[in-house]
Amino acid sequence: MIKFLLMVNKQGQTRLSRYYEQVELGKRASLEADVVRGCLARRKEECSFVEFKDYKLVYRQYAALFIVVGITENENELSIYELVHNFVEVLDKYFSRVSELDIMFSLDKVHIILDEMILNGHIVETNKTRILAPLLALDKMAES
Amino acid sequence: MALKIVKGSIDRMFDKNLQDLVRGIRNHKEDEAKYISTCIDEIKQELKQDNIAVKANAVCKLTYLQMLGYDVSWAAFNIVEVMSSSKFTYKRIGYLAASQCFHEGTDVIMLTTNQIRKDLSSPHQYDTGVALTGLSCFVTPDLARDLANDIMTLMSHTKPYIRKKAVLIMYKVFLKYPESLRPAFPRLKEKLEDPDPGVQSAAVNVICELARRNPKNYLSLAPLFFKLMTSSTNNWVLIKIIKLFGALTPLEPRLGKKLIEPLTNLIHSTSAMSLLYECVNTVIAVLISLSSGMPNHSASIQLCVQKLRILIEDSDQNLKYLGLLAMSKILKTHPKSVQSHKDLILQCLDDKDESFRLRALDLLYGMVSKKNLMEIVKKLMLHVDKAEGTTYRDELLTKIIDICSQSNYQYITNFEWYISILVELTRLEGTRHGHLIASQMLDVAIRVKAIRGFAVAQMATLLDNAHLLTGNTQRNGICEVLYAAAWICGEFSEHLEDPMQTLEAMLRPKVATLPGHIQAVYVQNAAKLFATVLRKHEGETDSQAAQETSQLLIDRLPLFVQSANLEVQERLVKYIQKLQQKNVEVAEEVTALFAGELNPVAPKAQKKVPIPEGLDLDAWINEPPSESESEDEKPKAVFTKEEHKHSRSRHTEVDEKELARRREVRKQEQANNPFYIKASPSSQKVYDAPGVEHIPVVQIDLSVPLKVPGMPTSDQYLKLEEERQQKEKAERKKKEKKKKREKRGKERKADSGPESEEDIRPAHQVDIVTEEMPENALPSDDDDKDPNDPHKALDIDLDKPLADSEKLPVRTHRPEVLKSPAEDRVNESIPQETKKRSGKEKKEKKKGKEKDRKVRWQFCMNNDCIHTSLHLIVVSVIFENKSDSFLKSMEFNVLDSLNSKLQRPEGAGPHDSLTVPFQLPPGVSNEARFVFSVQSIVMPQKLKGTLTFIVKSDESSTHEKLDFKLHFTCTSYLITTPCYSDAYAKLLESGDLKGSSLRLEGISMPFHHLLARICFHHHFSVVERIDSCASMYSRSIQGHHVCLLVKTTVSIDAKCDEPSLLGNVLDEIKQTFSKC
Repeated sequence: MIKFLLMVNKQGQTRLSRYYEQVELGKRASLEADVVRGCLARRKEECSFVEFKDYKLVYRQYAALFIVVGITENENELSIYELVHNFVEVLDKYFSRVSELDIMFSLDKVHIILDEMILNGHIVETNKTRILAPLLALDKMAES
Repeated sequence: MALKIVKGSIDRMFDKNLQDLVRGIRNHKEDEAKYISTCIDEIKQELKQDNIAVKANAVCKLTYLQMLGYDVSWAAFNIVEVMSSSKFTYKRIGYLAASQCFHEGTDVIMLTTNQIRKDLSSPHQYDTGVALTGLSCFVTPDLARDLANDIMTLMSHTKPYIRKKAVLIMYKVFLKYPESLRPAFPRLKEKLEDPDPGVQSAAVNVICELARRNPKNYLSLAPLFFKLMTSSTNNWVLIKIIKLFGALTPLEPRLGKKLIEPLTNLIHSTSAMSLLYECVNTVIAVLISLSSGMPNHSASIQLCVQKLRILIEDSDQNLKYLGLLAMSKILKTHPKSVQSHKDLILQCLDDKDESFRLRALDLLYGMVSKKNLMEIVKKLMLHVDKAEGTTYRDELLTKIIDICSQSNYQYITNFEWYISILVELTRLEGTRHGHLIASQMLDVAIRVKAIRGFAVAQMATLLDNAHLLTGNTQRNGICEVLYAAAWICGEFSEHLEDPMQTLEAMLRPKVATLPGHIQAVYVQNAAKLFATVLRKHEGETDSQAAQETSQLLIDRLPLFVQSANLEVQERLVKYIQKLQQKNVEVAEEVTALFAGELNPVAPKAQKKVPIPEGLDLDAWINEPPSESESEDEKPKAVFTKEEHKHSRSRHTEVDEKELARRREVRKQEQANNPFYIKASPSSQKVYDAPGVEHIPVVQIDLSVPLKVPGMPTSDQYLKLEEERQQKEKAERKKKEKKKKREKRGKERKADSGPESEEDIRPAHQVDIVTEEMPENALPSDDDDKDPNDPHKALDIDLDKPLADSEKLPVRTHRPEVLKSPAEDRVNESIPQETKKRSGKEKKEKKKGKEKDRKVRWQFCMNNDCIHTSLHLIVVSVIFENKSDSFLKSMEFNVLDSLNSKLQRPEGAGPHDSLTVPFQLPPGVSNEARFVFSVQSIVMPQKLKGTLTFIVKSDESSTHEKLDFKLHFTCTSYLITTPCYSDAYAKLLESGDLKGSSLRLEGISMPFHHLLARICFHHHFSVVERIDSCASMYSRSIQGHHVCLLVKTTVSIDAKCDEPSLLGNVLDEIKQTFSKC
């Protein structure tokens, strides 16, 4: 099961956070700091899976942005690793060449995309067209 | 109104949106906190406005700020407002904010139940979708209970988009409300075969997650999953299913056997690494659960190991990591198959990623054998030297020691090599594990007798070079080894070549800088050495050397007097001085101080000593002393008494006779000594039990030269060992050849390697101390579960048929209602007087027989109510007998209407009456309850009924009948529900409520009486009272809101989402006040 998904930039600023299990606000900050420290310190040649407290972290770096997913022991690391890439591809498709600013400015839309993909800590959809369908419908609604 | 809208949109133009906020924060890097606090103030202003668009924008910004770590819980109510918006664009912002910041403790969540229910049943799939997503984040036990049925219904929605989400949310619902699992499970199971792969995958996900925690309840699904596994082509689903099987196989080995084949097929065929990895993992789990070592599975193991090797060799670090991870799992049960890949694992020690190196170390621990131990440790020692970072180096050090000492030094064939490894490790800079090395030195020196000579020599060198270890204060972790060195040299001083030199080394001034406990050991062992030196010299009648030694002691020992261990030292110095001054031969006596061999004692050995018969450990040996006696004198007394009388030299070459005699004397002594706990034959190695001979001391294999001059390096031993093995091998080959010649036709063993482990003979052996558990020790419960684990509640048998009581509650009220049921007196329309009966002399009055009817609301748990909005109402009737006769056989009956029906027991017809379960003696009253089902509550109801009974007087008994009417008012369907003023305001603003008003004429009572009356008779609660008016609120059992605004002019403005209900309630209020 996925416990949380974070998008953090190299300076350690959180750009998106989604928790699938309740974490207190105060603890979130320290958790995010720990996670970022753990991942940022790693070199490129090190592997993308980190054992961290009682979860595992799977992370991927895209330019200056890290996407870090916290998962339980029983989740398949590779499938999450692929999921992260899938997520970025969807973002890329929607924002056409996504950047950190896109994510900050349209936080709510990124959340919609994410919610279409992961629900309740489980992967629910991986098809790009289907993931984007609600968002496109929403955009159409906003235009009219 | 139009103006307001225009004004609103103009306002909006000047408001910041999310992008402005983000830009602003970026532009205020220096005073970010200040900027954000002004933004929050702005947001607070925006939230006060009526325009929902402004509010939504504000909430959207809050969501961003919340992500940055700002507490926005104060806006919870505004979030609910935005969630309740009818426009999806706003609604989704509200839900997003809620899902980010609501949690179980958020109190406004209870206000959302109806809103969420409305959204769940919305015709627009995205409304439903957003509600489901939000719910997954903030569902509470209350919400779960109230909405379980709605979500369960959505699992069969026509759109797969909704179905898959509903299925996944159900898992959260189960966690929060475990009672829902059994009723919902059949439908969940159905979804495993849903035509839509997304829904199917969701169901697999949920069941996997459930089964992971409580696998045994899901074994019955195995055939279904097996079918899915062999038919599905979706890798995501396959991974989950295979994972599930991994959890199930330990419970059902037959399943494991069946799985091997399809799994190996998948391993061969798949190109997806994630799936391959999952299959390998599950095959490993299956093989672990099957009795290991089954020959026909060695092929599968080989396959797994091969595939893992490919993963580990891959340039992708991630695959490498997973490969190592899985490898360590195989290692546990099939170490041999991993051992052949030693080269690969050793390569990983050079990896740049520290986590790989650590993992490789773990693997090596399990891989060592007698054959490869030296080689592996050599490789590790190389890494110790070049390792950067003390953490990793310390890790290496502990691993080396762990590897060597595991299972009682099972894999060490040459302890000289091990001692030299330990000595080499002491040169490690800045390690924290000096203590660990020291305890290993002690352990080996004590337990491996053959090695003592060598160990002592090494330790003496170490002591001699102690300045190397203690030179740097930062290294003081390592000086712990001096503790071991000093003790070993002192205790086994007979092996020392030059005790004088060692003694000198131990008494150097620098020693005073060592930690206190090490100094103490130094002093104690210096005395031991002194005894050895004295004995040596006195034999030669050369008092000169002895004098010198004692002079050295006398000179140097005062050095220690200043240190912490004052007492021991002082006593020691005085004692020796005294003896020495007399100038007599004292060697014997000083030696006697340290006589006796110290043997390794099994942990818990003390516990194992049985209590001799007749010994009561709790009984007082002497009467308790009347005054406080210095207790610590006693052990001293024992010490001197015992040791002095039986001063034995430590020369082991005492003849057999002498030994026997001594033993006899000792036994005698022990028998007379009340402090001595006698050893029984079963006790092992308790000091001096049946002598020391029974400890197996194995002869040294002298094929290795024992003495290696100077400070040896462990590498020498590696070479020696290789030579030794070579030699042995050659010898064995010779023998084998011989054998072969003799028995040519004999079957050959299918051996994994050219030589099996057992063939390597150890150079030394360890006194094996078997650890035994005390009899009363309980086997440790390895699967103790966390009592707080929410999944524990889901350990539910799913195969049992559903009971009625387990059906999900539908359209229920909050539990508070159940605790304090709203009770109501239903207006009675009962004939006040029964007719006079002719022919009877007495007027039998049963006037007011039925006094009260109480209506209670109850949870509707009944089977047939599930999908309708039926409500059960309990009417309690008080029967009072006002006559002088005995009443019995009472039967209660009501003529059902379309809307309201009396609940009769199963099998009874619709017109059958119910028996009242008691009889009434004269003047007695009692209460009976009857359950009615009511469909619509917007109209008041009058039900006609009859009560038949038998009047029994002294002489006769007569049948009688009483007609009555039951009046269900609309008021009686209202429940007093408290409401916050802000929620109230929001309710009124939402525009969902229809208005109506009422004027009460001729009321003269004070205003607060009026309010109290409405509260009491009609179940309202006062929300707010401002001067001349008061707002009141109540809620019907079906969730209708009823709002009143009562003014002192005695007019009532009312609003309700159900106009007819409102009209009737107002009529009833009017009636109440017309009566007074």
